[in-house]
Parts: sequence; C-alpha cells; structure tokens
Amino acid sequence: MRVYVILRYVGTGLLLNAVFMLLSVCVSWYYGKDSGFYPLLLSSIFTAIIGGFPFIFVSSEYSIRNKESFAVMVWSWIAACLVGIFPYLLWGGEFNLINSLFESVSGYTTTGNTILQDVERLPKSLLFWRSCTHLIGGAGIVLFSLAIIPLAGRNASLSKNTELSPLARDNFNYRMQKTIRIVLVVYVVLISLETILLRIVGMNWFDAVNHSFSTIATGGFSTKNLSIAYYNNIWIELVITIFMIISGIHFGLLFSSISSKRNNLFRSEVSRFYLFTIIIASILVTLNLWSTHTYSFYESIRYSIFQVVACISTSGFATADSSIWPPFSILVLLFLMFQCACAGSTTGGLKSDRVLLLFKTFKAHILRLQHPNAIVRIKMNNITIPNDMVYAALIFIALYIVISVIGTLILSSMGIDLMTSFSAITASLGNVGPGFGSVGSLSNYAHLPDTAKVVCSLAMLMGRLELFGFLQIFIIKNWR
Amino acid sequence: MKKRIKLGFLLLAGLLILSGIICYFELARLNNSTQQVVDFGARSVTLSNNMLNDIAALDNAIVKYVSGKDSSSLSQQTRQLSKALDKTVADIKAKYPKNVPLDMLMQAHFDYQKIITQMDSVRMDTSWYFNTYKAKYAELENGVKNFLTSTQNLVVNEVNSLKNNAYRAIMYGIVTIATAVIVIFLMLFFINVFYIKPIVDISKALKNYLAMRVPFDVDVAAKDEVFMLKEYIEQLIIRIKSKKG
Repeated sequence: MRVYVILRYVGTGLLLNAVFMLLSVCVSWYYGKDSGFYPLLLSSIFTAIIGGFPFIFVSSEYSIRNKESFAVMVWSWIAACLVGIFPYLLWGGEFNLINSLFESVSGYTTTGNTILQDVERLPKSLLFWRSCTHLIGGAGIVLFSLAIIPLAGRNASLSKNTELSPLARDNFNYRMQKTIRIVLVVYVVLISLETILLRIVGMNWFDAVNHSFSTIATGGFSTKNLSIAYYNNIWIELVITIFMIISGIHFGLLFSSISSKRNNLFRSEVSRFYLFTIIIASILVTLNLWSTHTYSFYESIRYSIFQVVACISTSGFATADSSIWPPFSILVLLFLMFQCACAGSTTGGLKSDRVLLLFKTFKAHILRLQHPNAIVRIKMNNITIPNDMVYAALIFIALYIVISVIGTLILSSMGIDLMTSFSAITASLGNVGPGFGSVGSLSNYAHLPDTAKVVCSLAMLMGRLELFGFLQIFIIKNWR
Repeated sequence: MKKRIKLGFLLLAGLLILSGIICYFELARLNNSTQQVVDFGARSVTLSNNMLNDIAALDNAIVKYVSGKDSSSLSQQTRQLSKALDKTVADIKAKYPKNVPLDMLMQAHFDYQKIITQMDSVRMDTSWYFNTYKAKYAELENGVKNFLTSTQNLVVNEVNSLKNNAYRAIMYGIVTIATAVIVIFLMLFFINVFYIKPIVDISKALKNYLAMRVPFDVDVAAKDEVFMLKEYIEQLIIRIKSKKG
C-alpha cells in the first residue's frame, strides 16, 4: 500500500473540513465576531496546513487503488475526528482534551452524545461547527473527498463497498460518481426541505439549519440544553419525526423512489420491516406509558412516537426524559438502539437489514429442522442471499453483541451503574446518542470518568466504521 | 525536488513563526489582563481606604465639636473633608465598570452629605449626633465596606477567568506546536519516501550491479530529479553494455 497516496486523499478530506471551519468563521462574523471566531479561524488554518501538506510532495498523477481506498476511508474518519478537536480545545470552557475528543468523535460519527452541561453557553459559530461535523460525518468524509476528485470507476467501486453496508449493494449498484451525486442530491434536498419546514413551524433560521443538519445526518446535536423538548411544539416534533424516519431509509432507495426509476419504498422488504418496527414499537411504548399512568393518552402517543423514531433512526433527539419511563418501554427502546434503521442511510447500529436477515435465518433453520432434506434459501426482495453474506451478517451481529458486553464490563468496572454502562455503550456503538440511567435523553456524558469517555469514543468510531472497518486498521499485514 | 523541499521548510518555518506570534500575543494579553486585575484590586483598596479615612476624620471633627472640645474650625474642616470624599466617590462613579454594585455606596454618600450640608442649620448636640448623624455615618461606612467586598469578589472572579485564559494561552501554543510536529513528521516521511529511500536504493542497486552484475532495477515513486538520475544510470548501463557488445 502506498501510504503517501493515502495521505494525499486523507488530506483532501481534511481540506474539506477546513472549508467547513471557515464557513463557521463566517457564521461567527455574521453574529458579531463571537468568541468562536479565533478558535475556528486558527483551527481552519491548522487543518488546511495538515491537509494541504501532502499536496506539496504527492502529485495528482497517482490514482488510488482498491485496497488504498479502504484505508483512505478509515483514516479520513480518524483524522477528521482528531482535527475536529481543535476548535473545541482552543475555545476552552468545558472542553479539555478528552471532552474535545469525545465531542468531535460524537459529531463525526453522527452519534450526538455530548459532554456539555450547558450547550446554550456555546457561541453560535461553535454550535454551527458541531452541526457541521454531523453533516460531514453523515455524508461520509470519503464521499466528500472523492466527490472533488474524478475517479475511475474501478477505483471507486471499493470505496462504495466499504462506505456502504454490503447488504445495501443489492439495490444500490450505481457507479461511484453517481453514488456521490445521489448522496449529495438527497442530502441537500432533505436538508433544505427540513430547514424551510422547521422555519415555517416556528424555529428561527439558525436553529432550523442546525437541527436539519443533525436530523438528516441522524446525529442528534441540538442548540438547546433540552433538545427538541425546549420548543414544546407539536409541529416541530412532527417535522423532525418525519425527517428522522426518511433519513433512516436507504438513500439510493429514496432517490430511486423520487425519480421513479427503481423499486419504491414500500416494495423494499427492508424498508417495510423498518417502518413496521416503528409502528409496532410506537404502539407498544404508547400502551405501556398510558397503562402505567406515566402520561395521558395524547402525551403517550406524542412522546412515544418521537422517542421510538429518535432511537431507531439513531438521531437521539429528545422530547421527554425516557430514562424515567417504565422498564418495558426502556427495553423496547434498547432493542431499537441495537436494530436501528436501514443500511445505505446515515444510521449506525446493526441495521434493519441484518436484523431482518437474522429473523429469516431463524425461520430457515426451523424449516431445515422440520424438513432435513429440504433446500431452504434465504431471500430478500426476491433475491437469494448467498451463504457468505448471511454468515458475515451473523458474525457481525455476534461481534456487535460481544463488544457491547465488553464495553459494558469496562464501564461497570469504573463504578458506573449497570443501566448507565450498558445503555452508554449501546448508544455509542449504535451511534444513537443518549442512553438511559444517568446518560438519559435529557442528560449528558459530562459526569463519566475520562477513561469511560475514551471507551465510548472508541465505541462510536467502531460503530461508525462497522466494526470490521475499525478492527482492520490494527492488522499490520493489511497495510502491506 | 528543490522547490518542494523548500516549500515544505518554508511552511514549517511559517508555522513555527505563527506559533511564536500566537504565544506572544496570548501571553501579552494574559499579562495585560493580570495587570488590570492587580490594578483594579489595588485601586479599590486605596479608594476604600481614602474614603474610610475621610469619613473617620469627619466623624472625629464632629465628635470634637459636639463634645465642645473644638468649636472653631468645624465648618472649614468638614468642607475640606467632604470635598475630598466627594472627589473619591465621583472618581469611583466615573471609572468603575457597570458590573460593580455602587448603588448602596452612592445612596449612603448622598444621605451623609445631606446631613453634612444641613449642619449649619441644625443644633448639633449629642442627641443629634447619636440619633441623626451616627445612623448615616454607619450607612456610609457599610457602603464603603460593601464596595470593598464587592470589588474584591470581582477580583476573585477575574482571577478565575484568568485561569481559563491562561489555559487558552497555553492551548493555542500547544495546538500550533502539535500541528508543526505533525508537519515535521509528514515532511520526514515524504523526504524519506521520495528522496532518501530511492537514493539509497539506487546506490545499493548500482553497487550490486558493479560488484555482481545484478540487474539495475529500482522503483522510484516520483517523476522528479531522482527519477531522472535513475533513468540516466539505466541509459549509462545500456550504453556500456552496447559498447562492450
């Protein structure tokens, strides 16, 4: 592998980050040169220097190879998380090195966990930068990096395989350049539409833009301490709920549904399963909240739908403190934090595709037990899923659970209660954001020990890079 | 090659200069802020001391007058002391920032001065002293003490925020130096990959060729002077071979 070529492409990603930092500087200027001006300006300069330095030595004549594109993706993410620390660290306040790292990783991985006890104290420019990290992370740094460099189709194909979950490939077999265009078009259209709708229903422009970035990237950073609960506006909740659901659907499917060239949303087995899960979970949580007299019937419907969608889409916004909900509701939400939304979207977690495949594998196995000589095929959208893909999905689920357990054990060993430990790891690994216990939807991660914050940051990165992507960087043989 | 290395070093030098400028700027700002806090605290103490001295002297003169020990120069003395007190209070009012609570001091001073100006028209006996004057005197004394306490509290707050500023001043320098270190490592890596390693490889390959006729085969990543060197050596080898043939 040619490390210098990787460095050049990672540098491109960093330059894009520098551009977004500069955009935040403009926001600071617009709001009367707030306290985020110099930290963001200097961060932008530093990031541009680090990102631009490889361009002095590595010329554009080197095209990227398949194996290298994978390394570019993984290292772009890690490098972005590291330079993303700069604005927070330079601004100070609640941000020390560990807190800055946590906030940066949380932003780029679109998790939405925060260590900030008082989000509203942050200058507007820094709030905007936080949301930008969601935006960059959501679209995928590698997608951005490759968007400005015309790549040959052969080179691009592997990037697609690593950036998107393998299960998403079946109904998303475009060329890389088209993939980039689709992601950007869907992204821009959804963000614009949500911003306008949020403005119409009562949010100011600044909050509307920030919340749109967070929603479409399924992040969860808010400009308010109370998240969406601050507005106490049913229409805002409705708009965000709809866009959270949409953001959890495969982007290619959304594009093809709008352009009517391919199968539409309701014909896809995975999106049907995803929507069905939302409906069932909402009904179950509503009935549980109502029957336990936690809320009135109307409030139960309102809060349960929002929290269910926030959990399954991994957005992590909050309209109520779900950590004080009855155990049954918490368990349902925990299950959703594991399952999450569809592959090919910006969500994390196991993904509905894999969970559906798991259920189908159970069904096939029972059929095989009943009819030992039968040839049972596992199909999704009428396409037979090869055994190696089923095997890979099951391995992924097993590894995911093992890492959750290990993470919970590590956090518990630091004296954190079981519910907080388990939900913090689940929420971090699934890129959901808030958990339960002391890291509930209206709380934050500030009180956790520094080591726990580092563990959660690693879990967020692992979840974002689909476990194996992250683990492969530790295999030296892989880099030769 | 020359241009690239020069540009790399220039960038590095620029970064180090920037680091120095930022550190200097931040430390100068920190120094100014510290000086301001120290001056603010010292000025508050001096002004409070002046006010307390003035009102103590006024009180002393009035006590002497009321007790009949000195009845000649009260009016002139009080006018002088009262003027000095007025000047100090006006100074405070003009120079102190809005976040310093001055209401209590101003009101007490106003009430006290009212008593002082009315001295000529009232009968100044012990009853007046204890019933009318002493209460206003205590109010003013409390006002001055309150002023001193609140300004010193502000000093404490300022010192705490200075702690954050010190953190910032250091952090700017650390981040700039960290960036410079990353750039140094990148530069080392690129110089090694594009210049040192190829030259070492060329040297080794040439040595092997001359010693054991091992074919000269070197991989040079960049299309620059090192690549040209490799090409020239290959051409030279071909020419030697053809001459021998």
